[in-house]
Amino acid sequence: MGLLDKARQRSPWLIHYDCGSCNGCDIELLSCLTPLYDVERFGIVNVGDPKQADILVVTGSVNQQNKSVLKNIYDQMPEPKVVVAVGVCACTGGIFRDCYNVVGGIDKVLPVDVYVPGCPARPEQIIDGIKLAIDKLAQKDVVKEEG
Amino acid sequence: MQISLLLNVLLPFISAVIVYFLKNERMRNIVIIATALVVMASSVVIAVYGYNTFAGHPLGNINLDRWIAIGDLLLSLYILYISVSLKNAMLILLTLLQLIPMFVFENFSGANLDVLHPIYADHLSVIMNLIVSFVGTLIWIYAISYMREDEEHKGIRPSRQNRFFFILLLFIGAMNALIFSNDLIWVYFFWEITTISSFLLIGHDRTAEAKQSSTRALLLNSIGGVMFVIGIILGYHFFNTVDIQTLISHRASGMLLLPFAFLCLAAFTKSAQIPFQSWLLGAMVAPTPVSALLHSSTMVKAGVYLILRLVPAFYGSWLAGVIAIFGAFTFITASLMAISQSNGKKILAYSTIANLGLIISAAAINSPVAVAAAIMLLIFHAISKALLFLCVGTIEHGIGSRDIEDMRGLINKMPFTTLITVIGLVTMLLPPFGVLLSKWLVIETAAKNPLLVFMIAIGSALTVVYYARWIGILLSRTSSKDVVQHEKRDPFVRIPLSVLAMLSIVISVTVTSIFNGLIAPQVVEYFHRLGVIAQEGSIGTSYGGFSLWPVFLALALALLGGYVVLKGSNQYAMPYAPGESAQEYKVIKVAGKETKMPKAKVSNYYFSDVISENRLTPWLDVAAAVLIVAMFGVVIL
Amino acid sequence: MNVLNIVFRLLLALVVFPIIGGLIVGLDRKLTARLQGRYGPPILQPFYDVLKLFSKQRIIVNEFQVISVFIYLASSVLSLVLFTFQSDLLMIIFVMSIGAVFLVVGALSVKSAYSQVGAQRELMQMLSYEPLLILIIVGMYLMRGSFNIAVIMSQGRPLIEELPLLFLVMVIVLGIKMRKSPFDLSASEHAHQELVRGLLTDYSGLYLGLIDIAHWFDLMLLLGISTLFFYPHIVLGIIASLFLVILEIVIDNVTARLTVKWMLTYSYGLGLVLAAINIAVVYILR
Ligand code: SF4
Repeated sequence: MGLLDKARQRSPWLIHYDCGSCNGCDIELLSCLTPLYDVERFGIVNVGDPKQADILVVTGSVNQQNKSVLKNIYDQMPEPKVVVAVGVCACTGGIFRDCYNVVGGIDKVLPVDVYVPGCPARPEQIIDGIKLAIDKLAQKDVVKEEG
Repeated sequence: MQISLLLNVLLPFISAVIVYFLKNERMRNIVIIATALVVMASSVVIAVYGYNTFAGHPLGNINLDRWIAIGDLLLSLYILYISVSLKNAMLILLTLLQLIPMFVFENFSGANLDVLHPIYADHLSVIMNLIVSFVGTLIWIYAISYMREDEEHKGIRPSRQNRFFFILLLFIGAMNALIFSNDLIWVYFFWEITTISSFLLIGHDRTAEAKQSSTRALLLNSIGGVMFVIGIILGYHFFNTVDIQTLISHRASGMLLLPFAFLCLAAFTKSAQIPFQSWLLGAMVAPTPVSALLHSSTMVKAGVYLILRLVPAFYGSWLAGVIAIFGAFTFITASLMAISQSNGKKILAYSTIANLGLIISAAAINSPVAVAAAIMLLIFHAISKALLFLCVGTIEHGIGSRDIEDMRGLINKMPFTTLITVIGLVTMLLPPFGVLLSKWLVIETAAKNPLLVFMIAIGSALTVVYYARWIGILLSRTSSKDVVQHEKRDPFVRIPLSVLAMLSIVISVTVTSIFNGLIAPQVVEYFHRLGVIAQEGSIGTSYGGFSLWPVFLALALALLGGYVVLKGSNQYAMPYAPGESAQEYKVIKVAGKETKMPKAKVSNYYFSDVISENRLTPWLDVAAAVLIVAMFGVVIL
Repeated sequence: MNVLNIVFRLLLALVVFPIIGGLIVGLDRKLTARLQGRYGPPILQPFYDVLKLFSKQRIIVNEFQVISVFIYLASSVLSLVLFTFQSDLLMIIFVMSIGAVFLVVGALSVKSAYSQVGAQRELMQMLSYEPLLILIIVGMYLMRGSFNIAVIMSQGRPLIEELPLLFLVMVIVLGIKMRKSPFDLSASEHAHQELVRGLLTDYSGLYLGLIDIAHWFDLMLLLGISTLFFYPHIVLGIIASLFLVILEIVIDNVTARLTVKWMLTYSYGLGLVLAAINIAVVYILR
């Protein structure tokens, strides 16, 4: 494992987007930052800026209104990047699946790398999922896009 | 040698008359450009071979004093005529206060007003002459195309360009004559010509605002004129001469400083120091070449030039101490005011006032090093500021506004002009360019005086604010979306802008040679010592040193690094915006109704509630007036 | 100055100091976490972050951003190099200001509200600390009669004895320069988000990494100046500087962010007054 890969594994910055969650998963996600779980010890930082993020964590199901927003945030993130779907809503649409405006899980819009089911997902699960995502992140290479 | 002096001074006068009567625009332009070239060339000749007294009268045996006296009388009568036609009682009074004492003094007091060498050149005059000749004539060339566009734009028929160029050319002649005069009465005469030129040019557009501003300019400058007359008469009373070189060779003290205090006050009005600043701010209604030429780089410099001339006379006195504080006060307050402005021309005007204040302050710090710094600032400021004014004028013609908020993303619309403007701003703002180098030297020298350095330190931090944000605003661009337009510019605009921009960089790179060649000899002549060593790209004093090459090298490496990285693969993205607004929704549906999104607006901090021009100005004027009273106080007591 | 000496100084400025700077930032994050009852990231975290940023895809909004970053880095590096070569202190501050200006220019060149507002606030931060820094240096000049670091260091007793208030002013300057609460208006460290990322919002990847590195240089320069207060007792100076950093971290954790006007009032009201008193006393006593 090269130094770069190691650095990438040790410094995953994540951005959290709440697509249409009931806030249950959001609260669980935020509790990961609290002293009890403290994800910063893995170098994980919760950033607000997709341009500086490596991992997109999405909670809640996608609906027609925020589909484009989700895509937009994803597009602004520089390669390499991974997506984690937290909660059954984000995985499949969950209990909101049949709503008139719901598109479904976020994999309808984005390529999802890790699914973390649960309603809500427990912090331990979330951390575990993010750890999986970090491993995937290290395997990805910078996709060079000529701009 | 004498021929080039004659050409330099008299040719603009002659060409001015020719231009006034030439109706053919082509011919007129040729005359202007030819005159410009001759004036530039002759100033270089003077600079290279100059530096000595021009013995006797260069015009043979004609006694010029007589002619100057007559000219002075006619000029004063003309100003009186203007004052009467403006029906401004105050102005009439001030004019009479100049006219009558001067007339009596010259004709009935029996004073011996002969001056052995009425024409005199040293390094300081050469420096001023180079500035006036180069910057001034480049502005003429710029004005050719500017005025054509301006008249088209404003629909002025028949053309009034004859009159405009007549005054513009005349003015340069008068400036050059002023610079080489060694007789206070001569200086006064040319001083008055610059005043009247300024009045006529500010009023050129004949709008109500122009009329009001020009009257104010005349009024305030007439106060300066009165002070000048008092200064001359008192100077004669004390020292029996109007010869500047003889006057300053007396190391006067106490009451004997009084004439110099009056002359400095005259200089303050000309340099628009607070509390006389309002005329310069009003003067911004004039066409841009006027602002660039008279109100930033040359005429207002006549004031600081006079002070730099008189420095040896009051060097080391209490008067100097108060003048230094006064200048620093103007520096800090004018910089503060500039922050609250969004009008580009007004920002430049305030910054001009501030820099002139700094020059005055440095000149009076009582150290040869500071005087050297003052002269240095004079040079660098003149070039960069003239450049900036011309840029703002060009931008105004391009986008129809001089508000810096409207200049967001100008780099896409006017790439050439914007780039030049950025060069101008950077040379005004950042080391290792000359203006900052001079400022560095001033701060280091002023450090012995804590009060002074306090004001200058805060003032220069304020300067950073209004220039830095201007640069940023100009350069704003979203590369993936914005289309860079091709900018077509008249060569008459392109050439002066490019030459000035180049000059502003070149003189900064060659600052040590300029320092050794022009500035150092002048300071040595004044004080027989210098205290600054400039060599191999570094300027050093006994208490510090600035090496230029490392900074230039670092900047070059940075540009190179940026270039290399930009050559590599980069993806151009949109600026970050959260969620929806990134897609620039103009209309959204809220509860089934189409609703227009309110337009988000970002603008600079202006603190207009705290730094309110209208509210603060009276207080600042009072404070400045107190300082002026203190200035006379220390002389009289 | 022989070649070895030059190489040594360059090595110090280009390698050793920035690494220490990075470690201090790491310490900062660890300590902050501890203050909040968390375990915190490893001390080497800033280096991992920068390495990772270097390996990311390069995304920019315009070219001026890139130029600005490089000028910022160059000026920070140069100012630290000049410091190790014991040049003129005021010149060093002026050189550092080039970078600060360009950081603002780069942020303003992006049409994003967050960058723009961040840049405007950064300007206000500069307005707050610049006069203070100049006055600190003027105080040193008044004591030693020179702006040259070599001369400042050549004389006996430590400056702190007569410039204690100016050392306190350094706390304000360092707080603003490190962008710590209550002065973290323009951009903020990770945990305390402000305006998304303030003036750094539109920087990512390599460019953000370079800015981080430049920041280490800036930090070390300021700590160098604070160490100067204690010369010739260098060890004491280093301890005092570290104490200063820890003090900043504590202040960061116990205070809330101020508004721009508060910051200006505070830095001018407190900082300038402290500096004025100290300088006046020194001036009168001399
Ligand atoms: S998964 Fe459950 S807790 Fe999470 S957002 Fe959906 S409904 Fe809420």
